[in-house]
Amino acid sequence: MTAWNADQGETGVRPSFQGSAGEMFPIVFKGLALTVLTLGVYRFWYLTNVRRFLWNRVEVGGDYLEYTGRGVELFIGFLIALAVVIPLYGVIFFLSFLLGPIGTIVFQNVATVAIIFLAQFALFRARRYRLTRTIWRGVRFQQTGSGLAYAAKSLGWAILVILTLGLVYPWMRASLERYKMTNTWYGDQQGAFSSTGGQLFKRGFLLWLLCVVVIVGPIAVLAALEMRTPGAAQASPAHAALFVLFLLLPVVFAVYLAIEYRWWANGCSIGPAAASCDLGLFQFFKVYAGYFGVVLLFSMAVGAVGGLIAYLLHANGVLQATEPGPAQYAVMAGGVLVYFVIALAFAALWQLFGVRPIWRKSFESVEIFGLPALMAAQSQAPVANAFGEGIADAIDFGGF
Amino acid sequence: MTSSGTGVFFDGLTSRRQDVHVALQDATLEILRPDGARLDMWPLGQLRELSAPPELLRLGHDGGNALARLEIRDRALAAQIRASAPRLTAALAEERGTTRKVVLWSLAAMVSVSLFTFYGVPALADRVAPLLPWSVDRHMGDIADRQIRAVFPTDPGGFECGASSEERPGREALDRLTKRLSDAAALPVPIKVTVVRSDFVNALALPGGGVYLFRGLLDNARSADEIAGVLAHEIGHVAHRDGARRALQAGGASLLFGFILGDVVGGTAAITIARVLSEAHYSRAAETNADDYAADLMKKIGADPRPLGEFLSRLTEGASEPEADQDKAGKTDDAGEKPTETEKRKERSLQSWISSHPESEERRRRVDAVAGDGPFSPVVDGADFLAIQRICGKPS
Repeated sequence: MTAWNADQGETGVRPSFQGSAGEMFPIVFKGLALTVLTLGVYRFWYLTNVRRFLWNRVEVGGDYLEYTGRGVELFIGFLIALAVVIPLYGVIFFLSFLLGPIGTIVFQNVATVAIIFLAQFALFRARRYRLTRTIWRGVRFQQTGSGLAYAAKSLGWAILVILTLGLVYPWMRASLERYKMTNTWYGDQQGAFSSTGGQLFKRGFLLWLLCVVVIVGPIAVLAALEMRTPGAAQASPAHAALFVLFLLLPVVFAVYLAIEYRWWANGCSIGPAAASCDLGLFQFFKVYAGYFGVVLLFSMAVGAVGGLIAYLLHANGVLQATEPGPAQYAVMAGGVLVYFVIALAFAALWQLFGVRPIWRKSFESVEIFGLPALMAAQSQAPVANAFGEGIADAIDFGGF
Repeated sequence: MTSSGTGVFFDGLTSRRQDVHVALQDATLEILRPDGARLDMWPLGQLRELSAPPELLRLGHDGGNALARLEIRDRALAAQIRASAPRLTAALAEERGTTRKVVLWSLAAMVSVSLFTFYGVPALADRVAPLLPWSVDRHMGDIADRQIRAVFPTDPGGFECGASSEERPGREALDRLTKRLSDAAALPVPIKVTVVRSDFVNALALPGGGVYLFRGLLDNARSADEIAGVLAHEIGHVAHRDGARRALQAGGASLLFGFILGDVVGGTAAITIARVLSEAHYSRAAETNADDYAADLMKKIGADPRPLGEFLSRLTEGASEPEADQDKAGKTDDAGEKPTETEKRKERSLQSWISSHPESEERRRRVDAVAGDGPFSPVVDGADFLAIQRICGKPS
């Protein structure tokens, strides 16, 4: 037997991510503080710094990824988006003002569809931006394909999903991911996507069934009780405890995300290199639970401090003054600031204890096979950069 | 000066990873294969440091393949290169400079935008509103009227009082009162008063001439002059185009803030707060102006303006009625929620400052000052007043 398969016997390469919350904290803290001070303008530079942190610490086969995007590019992308969205917003506002009540309802639905279409277009273009700014071993990722085609595809599938009450959702995911991956390139090596909607359907079906039981079950039981003896449901609160089952929903959702990620990663390949994912079912749930715990602790701390400050203000009579004056202005301004700071603190905790661990698990749960073959294939074609990066830099500001 | 070490080289064309020997000559960095062959030579002046994980120095160079990378993990060599390449961090420094400019100018822009929102937009709205044709006001009023009739919860018996035969005399008496006021006001739009079957103590003016009186307000009135005063106040809002002005102002402010803030966390909340603050500031002026207008109008028809002030004070003092006469011209979207809003007003602290009406004692003093002391005659006779009070049937 001389038949030889490159995948067999070859050990895969497992990427790793080395970025601790402690190392990420200064980036997030400084970024969010400046975002507050500039009322949001800094967020593009902040996002860029976070991405640099996440990308630069992903190591694949001994070499780190590189993120070459810049804040100013995202900012320009945002301005372009504004240039498109503002007139659209104006038209929607104007038309809903002119049309009668019924016309307004019809029109709002049309506007919703238009917004979904635009959002899908933007998502595709943003993916392209991130890929073209990702470099590994001196070779750039790329994305071909048309944002408009992708948006049209998404919209068509979305309508089908609604018409079939969600039944075709797995096939929508497969179709859209196939479009994205076959339009993904690493140098001159094209990506592919081999997972099918049927596979996702099989894996997700049980969970979907569980959801139905959890949601419909208690309602059905209560309804049955109510039918037999009217008022029974209200009479015994114990029955209402059935709704505690609803608490299962977040768990189910997190497990589903893990299943879907595994399904997705297992289908991805670029050139001869293919991924194999062994993410545990509860891995994402662990992250969410951890984040929830951190948020709970943080909220308790904020509540204690806030209560103390309110008490002190109250004791000093600041809150009691009814006439507008500098004190009132100060309290109002302080309140607005506190609101922003708390909202942004939640965002910061999410970055540190949500985004970062999920990013880590996404990479570390994957094993890449056929990497040497990819390297060889890439090296055999010296005209590697089929896509002029100068043009990409100049015209692509799709990363809103 | 010569120093050397090892590194990893990527040529930027293929993804081949090459372990290389790096030699730092006087003005160049030589990249050599293990067998000694020279792969590339980068002038030190063209070296650029790129973002990388902390344990390695990632170099690119200007003028060659933009994707070619040299990665150095040898700390000593990295320190040498850092010390001798003059423009190594120029790009990073430039980026930091840009970022600093962005931060500073955003702060400056925010100050400008805030000032413009608080002072510029209301001033512009003041100038623009009178230029709009009255048909704009009437159109806005019609839309608001339809919305309020659709959503506002009323007592059984229909939204509007004064239609049945029992209620007709009240309607006629109110029309006589309205006619005196509107003739004196001589606005380009007709004043159309609607009595709403609700025990809510309130009155409000729609843009373009519509005025709502809620039954609760009529129940609390002790004379026709008090009702006439409130009506004159609402006509003042119509005459001053406060509805259109408020729409322009709110639209302008949310446009400015909304577009600049974009989708940042809490952006919508910031817009709301900014709007509430600027509107509160602004509507106090609008209320005072409407009071002045009301006093003048009452004097013009020979009636006593002072009952308006008395009415306001009495309603505010009344423990059962926390605050009254919340007329929000043109602000129709929250009409359905007003009763609960009124309940909340029992807590008077920050909220009372935000609430759009100036303190009623202050308003009373102002109205009294305008009133002077002329010979006043009642605006309608006692029989008409009784009829008006029964416009929604027998008092409950």
